[in-house]
Order: sequence, then structure tokens, then C-alpha cells
Amino acid sequence: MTQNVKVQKPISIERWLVPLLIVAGLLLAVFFGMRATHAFANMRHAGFHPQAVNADGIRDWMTVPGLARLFDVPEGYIYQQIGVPQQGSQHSSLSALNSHYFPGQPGLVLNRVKQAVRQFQTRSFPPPGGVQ
Amino acid sequence: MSDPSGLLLTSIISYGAPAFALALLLGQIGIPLPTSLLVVAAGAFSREGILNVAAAAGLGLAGAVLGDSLTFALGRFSRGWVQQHFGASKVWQSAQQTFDKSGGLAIYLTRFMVGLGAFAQPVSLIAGSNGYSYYRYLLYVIAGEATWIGIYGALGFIFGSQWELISDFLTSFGGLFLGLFIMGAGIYFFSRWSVSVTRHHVISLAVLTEEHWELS
Repeated sequence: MTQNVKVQKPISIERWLVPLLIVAGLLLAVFFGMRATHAFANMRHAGFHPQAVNADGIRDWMTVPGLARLFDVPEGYIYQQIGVPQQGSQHSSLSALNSHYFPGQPGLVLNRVKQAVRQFQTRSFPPPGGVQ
Repeated sequence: MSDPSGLLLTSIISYGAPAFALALLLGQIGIPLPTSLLVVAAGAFSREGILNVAAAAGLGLAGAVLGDSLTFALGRFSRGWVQQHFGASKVWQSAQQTFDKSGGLAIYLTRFMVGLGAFAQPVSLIAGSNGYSYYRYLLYVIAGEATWIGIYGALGFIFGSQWELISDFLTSFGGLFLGLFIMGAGIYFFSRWSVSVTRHHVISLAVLTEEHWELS
């Protein structure tokens, strides 16, 4: 009689699903935990200066009109300094302008914009003792 | 900043709140876009005068809610198929009952909680295919998306030009939370599995003992 008794085995999918979940979760937690710690250290190091805008914060996804508004620099001045026509360039990012007008010279437009903004700010607000 | 993020940020700077709303809509229907980063950035752009706060918040909320509603509609559309294939399953019926009880909380939390955003689309699909009331769903979705846009946008507004720092931290913290959540789920299943294995061994032992006594 007892030979007919069948013992149900526990679901086998959990045999590989459980270690997979634990290992994947652990890896994610370690990776992002390290990134979060690093990001927090960066935040502490930078301090809290929400209104500080400087040319080092210019990114290649930004557009010339956006930068003009952010840094209070005339658009025409920036286009002139980077050597790109203003017409048709208003919605293009700095990286798009770079690849269109200066292919093979990565980062050129970004560096020129940073330089142009710095120059304009120095002219508008000369440091004490005059421009060196 | 990676290229897709850069492209989205350029579009938001160039075309304003409608581009922001479109990005959130696409993100909420499941296209993998860095939408939380965009909300933080939109807050910072509002502070810098690039975006209008009210337009960005209003259109952004509309875009996100529309995206969620489309995902819900997709779930509702597939309801017949789901019911046909899984409707008789006890697990599915139990899941349905659980969702009816606490689905609202799941819908609300997955809209804005760091790390749980990955579950927003599955929860919307389940709500749709489960026969969950659309008006109840809409209520929780509006509350959740408003919380998300409010908190993340405010952080971007407060941090201003330093928004990339807070966004980087939030993204990493979200990943950490997700990792801990997955690990917690693994540990929960392990505890259930070990109980099941122990029960299996006890039953096997009992059967063997009974056989041994009958034979002897």
C-alpha cells in the first residue's frame, strides 16, 4: 500500500532562481552602492553652490541660445567665436555643431565656447587690477 | 552624459516643456529613457529660466499620466488572452486578489520610489489585464507622478547648476535600492524553499520508516 505513495518534490525552478536573485541583487547593490558613495563624496566636495555657473560646467549637449541665456552672453558673439553661422544652428547641440562643421576635431566647439564665455566674462567683469 | 541623455536634454532646451512631456510619455510606456534625470534637469532649467515651471510641471505630468494610461490600456487589451491562458491558475487568481487589495499602493510607489521605477510598467500591465478599475488606477497614477515630478523637480530646482551631482546620486541610490530589493526577494524565496525542502525530507523519512516497519 505504501509503495503507491508519491512524495512531491519541491519546485525545482527555485533551485536556480533563488541563488540567481541573491547573487544578482548582491552584485547590483555592491556596484551601485560604490557609485552612490562616490556620488555622495562628490556632492560633499563640491559644496552647495546652486547659483554658481562657470564655463567648466558647459556640456556638449547644450545649445548656443541656452548658453547665451545662462551666462548672459550675446548669441552672436558665441557663434562668431566658434566660427559657425547663426542661421540654422539654434536647435543644434555643441556636439552636433562640432560634427557638422569640424568633423575629425572632437571637442573643438566645446573648448571654443568655454573660451568665448570666459573671455566675455573677463571683459564684462575685469578682475581687480585689470586684465592681465 | 551619454549620447541619448544628451540628445534628450538638447531637445528640452530647444523645444521646452512639450519635448519634456513627450520624453516622459515615452519613458512611461516602457522605452528605456533616463526620465528621472530629465525631471531633475527640468527643475534646474526652470531655475535658470530656460523652462517655465508651471508649463514643465503641468505638461510633464500630463505626458507621464498619458504614458501610464497607454500601458494600462495595453494590459486591458491583452486581458482576454491572459485570462484564457492563466485565468484558471490558482497562482494567478491569488495574485489577482492580492492586487485588488494592495494594488493601489504598488501603483503609487512604483511611480516615484527610487529603485522601484523598473516595476512601473509591469504593475500598469498587471493592473490593466487584471480588470482593475481605470479611475482608481488614474487616481493613484496622478498622485504618484505628481509626487515624482514634485520631489525630483524640486531637487533639481534647489541644486540649480549642480543638478548633475544630485541626479548622479539619485540614480546610483536607486540602483542600490533595486539591488537590495532583488536580494531581499531572493532571501524570501530561499526561506520558503528551505521550509519546503525540509518538509519534503520529513515526508520522505516518514514514508521510508513506514515501509521499513511493514517489511520487517
